[in-house]
Amino acid sequence: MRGLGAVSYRATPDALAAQAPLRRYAGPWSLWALGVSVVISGEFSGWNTGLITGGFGGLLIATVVVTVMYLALSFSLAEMSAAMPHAGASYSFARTGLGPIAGCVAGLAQIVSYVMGAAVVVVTLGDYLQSLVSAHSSLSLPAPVWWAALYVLFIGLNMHGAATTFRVAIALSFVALAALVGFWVVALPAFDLSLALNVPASPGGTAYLPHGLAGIAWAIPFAIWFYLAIESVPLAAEEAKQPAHGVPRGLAWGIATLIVAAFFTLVLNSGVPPGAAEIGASSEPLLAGIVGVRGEHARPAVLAVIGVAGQAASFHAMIYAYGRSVFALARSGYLPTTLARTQPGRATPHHALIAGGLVGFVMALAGKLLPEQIGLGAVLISMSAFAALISYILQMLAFARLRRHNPDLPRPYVSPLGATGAVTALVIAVAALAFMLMDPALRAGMIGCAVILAAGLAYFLLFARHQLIRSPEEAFALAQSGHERDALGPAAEAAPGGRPGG
Amino acid sequence: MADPLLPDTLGEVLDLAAIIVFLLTSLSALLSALLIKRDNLFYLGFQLIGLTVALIFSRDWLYDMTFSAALGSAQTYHELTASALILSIAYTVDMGLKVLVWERILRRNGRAAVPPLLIAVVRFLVYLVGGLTILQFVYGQSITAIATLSGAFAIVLGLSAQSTLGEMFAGIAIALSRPFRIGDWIKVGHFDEGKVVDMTWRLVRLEMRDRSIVNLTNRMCADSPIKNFSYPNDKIRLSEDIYFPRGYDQERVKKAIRKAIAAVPTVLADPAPNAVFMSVRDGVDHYAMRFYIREYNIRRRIVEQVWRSVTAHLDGAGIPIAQPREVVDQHQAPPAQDSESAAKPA
Repeated sequence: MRGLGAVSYRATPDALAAQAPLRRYAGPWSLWALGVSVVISGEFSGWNTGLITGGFGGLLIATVVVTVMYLALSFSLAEMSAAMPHAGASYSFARTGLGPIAGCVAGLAQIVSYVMGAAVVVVTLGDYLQSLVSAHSSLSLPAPVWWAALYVLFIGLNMHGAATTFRVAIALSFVALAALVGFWVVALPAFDLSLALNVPASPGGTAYLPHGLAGIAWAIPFAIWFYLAIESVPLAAEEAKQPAHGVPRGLAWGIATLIVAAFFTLVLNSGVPPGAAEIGASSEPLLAGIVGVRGEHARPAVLAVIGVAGQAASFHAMIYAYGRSVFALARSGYLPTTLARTQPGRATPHHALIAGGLVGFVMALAGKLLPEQIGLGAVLISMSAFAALISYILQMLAFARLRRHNPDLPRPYVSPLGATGAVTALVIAVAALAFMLMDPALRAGMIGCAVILAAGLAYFLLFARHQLIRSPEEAFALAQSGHERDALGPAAEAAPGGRPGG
Repeated sequence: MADPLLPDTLGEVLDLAAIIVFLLTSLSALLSALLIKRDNLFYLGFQLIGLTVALIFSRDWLYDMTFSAALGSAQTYHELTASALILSIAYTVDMGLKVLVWERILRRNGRAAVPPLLIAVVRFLVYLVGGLTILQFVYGQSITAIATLSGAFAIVLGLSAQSTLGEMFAGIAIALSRPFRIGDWIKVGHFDEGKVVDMTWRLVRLEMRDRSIVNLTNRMCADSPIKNFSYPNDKIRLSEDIYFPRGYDQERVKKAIRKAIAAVPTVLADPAPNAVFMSVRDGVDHYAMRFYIREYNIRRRIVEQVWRSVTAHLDGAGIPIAQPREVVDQHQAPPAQDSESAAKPA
């Protein structure tokens, strides 16, 4: 008897069959830049709220735990990406390891994470640009105009071609990293550990753990910001020159860079004037730190570069990430296939890039139009984090299942942390998700994420699963599950469901 | 008011981070061993070492915060954590031997597993050393008496099981040096050649051509020269002598032989069969037919096929095969004179 996971396939639409594949351009440094740039805005802001919820000690411990999770996650993803070098990344891994429903959910979660993340970043970036312009002229544009202009600019760069996308990512990564290093150089002489410990303690708390051991748990969702979205690197597998070689290196170099950046930023930014209590409450913690060290006269030029660099790098890379995620799901029939069209001559998924941009813009606009007490911005942030954790959990389950049931799957790169690493990432991701679910402030984001995933899943179960397409991801999953003949045979065939490939 | 028991220095906070991380990774290693592959127990050993080290370093605050009621004194906490560290190291060594040695180095290429008795003995020794270390260095108990007793026991055990232990260690030496594998055709010392059908911790079993089984002890194998016809070279050269009447063209003869041998399907084409003019002996030309085969177990059948093919080809070419003949000239000795006249010159 066939379950809900039963899928059937249709012929590849002529428009998709005729279009050129994605162009291979990226080497390890391009992939490193993609990983660093997509994350780097999290080093500039977002993490610092953890100082309030957990104190310096609590956030430090949470960051160590989260670092272990992302290190294990990166190596596990590198192994799967080398074995399954497809643009779908998390969708491809979950599809092969756990079946089409899990693949659908993982792919949708990935899209939610990047589309919502881009919407959050564009709001911040617009604010930075407006303040920068205001400092030098009387020009004042409404925020949505900034957002629209930024979306048009960066979607245009992404549509121009893979070479442009990766070159811009490399340039923005270096600028953002230079801004971070500049901050560390300024902050180091002014570092004072007692300033990092000035968060008022609750009864029973200490200077390091002002809210006790529970504060560590509450700080975990914010520590995630130091690394959130590093998992986007495998999305470039079809555009990597040598995916089996380049993606693992790009991921390893990227996570190493981010680990250094995370700990330097956490320690130095917390320990400079005005101290962790105010840094934690600031929407611009690095800027607050610079002003604390240098005084107000430090503001205009340097601070604007610091503010814009990180946000622009992440915005650019997130647009790339959601574009490839939407493209891959549409190419397999999980989303309307028009979203899988690529631009002739440039081989970039322009429909997916534009569609994701429109959704992101509407979400940002809704955040502005809705009453402030709803706090849509915060909801979008938590939606992005929830969706990412769901995708991590599914990917690590897929890793474990493939290691157990497909031990002979060709793996050009093998994670040095083995299955233990993947299970470690899985355990910490589940714990982080549980902590987030317990936080009432994040509940709206969780509900929003669940609603979108449920809607996408309903679309899959009611419509899409009856007309999937034999994309590289689907063909690979079918081959691994023993349905090779289905993958290679006539167009309209069915594969049993409920199991990988089914 | 601050809780005096919570970590309140940077070092203590880092200790707590290490404890949390190693607890999580230990749990993960256990889960992956249970759900994915037992090899992950090796990783568990390292996580347990990390965890116990972190617990030892956290003694100053963790004992007061968590264990004071249950353990009664900080000394007990120290003894327990130190013992746990030593046992974790012993466990890691045990798992490392299991994963890397018993089940990998000594078990690949179809070799028989190391005898369970040896594994048990080694495991026992690893944990015995761990236990003695705990007694000596954690609890301050002199292990001289125990070590002496163990030594005496080991001597008694070693003498009584001298032969068995010798076989066991010879088996390990064979497994490490890998002079042959199961399925190889070998010749051990002066014994006839046979196929290796089994290797245990005491014996190597050879199956002879007549299907009889010869059991050779590991020590006999370890002490004797071993000729292996299958490994590492799987191509074996055979050589057969053949003779022709004097005067036949050597190139013609060689060509006919090479062609005849090459027609046998079980003879390898590479290296190519060859015929070598060896000598003139006993009134005939002596040649050696040389060719390579892979299936040493059917070599006699292949030799028969070669001779059939050679004789058929030579008959077709009109070249007769000769037999070496030794000519013995008998000289008739002249009739003997009387002894005196024979002794004196004329």
